[in-house]
Amino acid sequence: MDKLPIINAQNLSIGYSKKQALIENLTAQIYPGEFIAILGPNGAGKTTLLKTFLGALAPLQGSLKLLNHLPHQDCIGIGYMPQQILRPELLHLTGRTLLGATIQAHQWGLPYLNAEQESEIKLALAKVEATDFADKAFGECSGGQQRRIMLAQALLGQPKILLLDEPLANLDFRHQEKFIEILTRLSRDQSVTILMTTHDINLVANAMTRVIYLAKGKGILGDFAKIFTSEKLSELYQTPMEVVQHQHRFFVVHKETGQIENVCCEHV
Amino acid sequence: MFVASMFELTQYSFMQNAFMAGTVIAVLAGVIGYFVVLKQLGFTSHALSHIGFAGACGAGLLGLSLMSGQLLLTLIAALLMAFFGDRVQKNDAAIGIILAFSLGLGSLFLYSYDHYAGSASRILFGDLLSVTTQSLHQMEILSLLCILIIALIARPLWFSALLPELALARGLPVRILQYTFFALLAVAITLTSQAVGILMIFTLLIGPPAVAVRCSQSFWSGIFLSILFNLIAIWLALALSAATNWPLSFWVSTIVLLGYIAASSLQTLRS
Repeated sequence: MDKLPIINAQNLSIGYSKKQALIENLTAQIYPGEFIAILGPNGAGKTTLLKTFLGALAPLQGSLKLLNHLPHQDCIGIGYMPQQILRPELLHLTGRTLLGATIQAHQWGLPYLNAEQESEIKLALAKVEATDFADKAFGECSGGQQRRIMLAQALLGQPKILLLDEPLANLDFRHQEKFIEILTRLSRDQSVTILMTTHDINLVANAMTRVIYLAKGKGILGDFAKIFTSEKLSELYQTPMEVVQHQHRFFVVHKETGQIENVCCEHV
Repeated sequence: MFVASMFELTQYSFMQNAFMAGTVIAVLAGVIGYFVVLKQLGFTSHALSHIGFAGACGAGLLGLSLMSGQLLLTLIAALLMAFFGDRVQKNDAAIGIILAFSLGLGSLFLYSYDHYAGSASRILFGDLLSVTTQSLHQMEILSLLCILIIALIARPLWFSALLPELALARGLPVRILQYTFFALLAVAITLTSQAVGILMIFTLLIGPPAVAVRCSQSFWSGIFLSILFNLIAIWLALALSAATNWPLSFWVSTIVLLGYIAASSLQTLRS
């Protein structure tokens, strides 16, 4: 098995302006086939980190390599699923049409799919079990079905890395489970590396390999068991934190205020 | 009786020119309008058309053709808007102020050149019946050029209109596409305003394409319906305008409104 990291970040600082970095000095090596959850309170820089990995945002400092390239030089190797995709103009198109638009976006000329592209779309839809509703208008699909179509979109071009922004948000439990099952299969069977932001660590606790936890302008990467300790999180937050376990669910609580951090449940 | 008099009208060359120009404009506005709706650039287009008013009046002042002045200024404004991006395109206040200033500037030009004031209503409300054979040829060439360029960039343009954040992520030449599209938009706006005036480019550039977007599930059905709805609107309006002697822009806007209501109620009924 490949022992070289597929994502290699050294002393990485990220953010939208040089004056104010959102995260400083992040060092992380991620290996092929890993399934990583990116956690942190609102505004900690989860989406910003994904966008930096994607190449849509330049690092402020430090070095970053994906698939041994600088970000943005190997876009084909990265699949991305953004958080907000619902624009009313899109709702009348079918999932298959959206995938068709994606697969030929790099070509010139008028939209027309060749047989090879048609079969790749078919394959991507099958991988996420979206074949049944691929020809329904996007707006008539349920939230969970829409997410699966967008995941199929991210899978076009057989990327080695998947960057998913809040794919589980606002889904009911059944759809969340289904989605995680599909992701687990992708990372296990095809050794796709998955990085996913989420507000509920408990949903993916069994599926993921490691966690990136972002807070207070810092980020740490490590095993779930090592990071989800009162000691480690207090150090990261620079304030007393407590990790509480209740009925197999983990909660992160501010010790002084008793407030629950929204890294362990969807609706806080 | 009606049909006979309509047939008689088609014998006149000004009527033939109007019909040809209307057809050319409907096709171009249908194609560009489909992307305008997807990219949510309705209000931006409206503002651009008003900038053309100042251009047309200024050209009149300098003794140039109205359409060339309008095209030039709309083109410059469009490229500037493409340059400033969402900061201006999605900023209602900025667009509104630029729009109002353009009308003000146009009124100053008209004031300085008062014997030309009759042209104001032509620019504002359009005048297809006075299209000369020469300007018809210009329209045909410009439209053909625009549609050829669209055909060349249709794939990345369509994708970046549908999923803009992904277009950036996938490394598409988003900036180049943006400038190209805005240049084409400037041409489409200028030509559309020859038929319905700068005040009513919504009628062909937004209305029918918006209905088309709503009832199509793929690229080709969207583009095809957009052109078809535009052709129906302009042909019907030309016939009604000839029969009643009322202004074309009145009929176009009425037909588009009724079509929009019909499409909306059909959709509500179905769901």
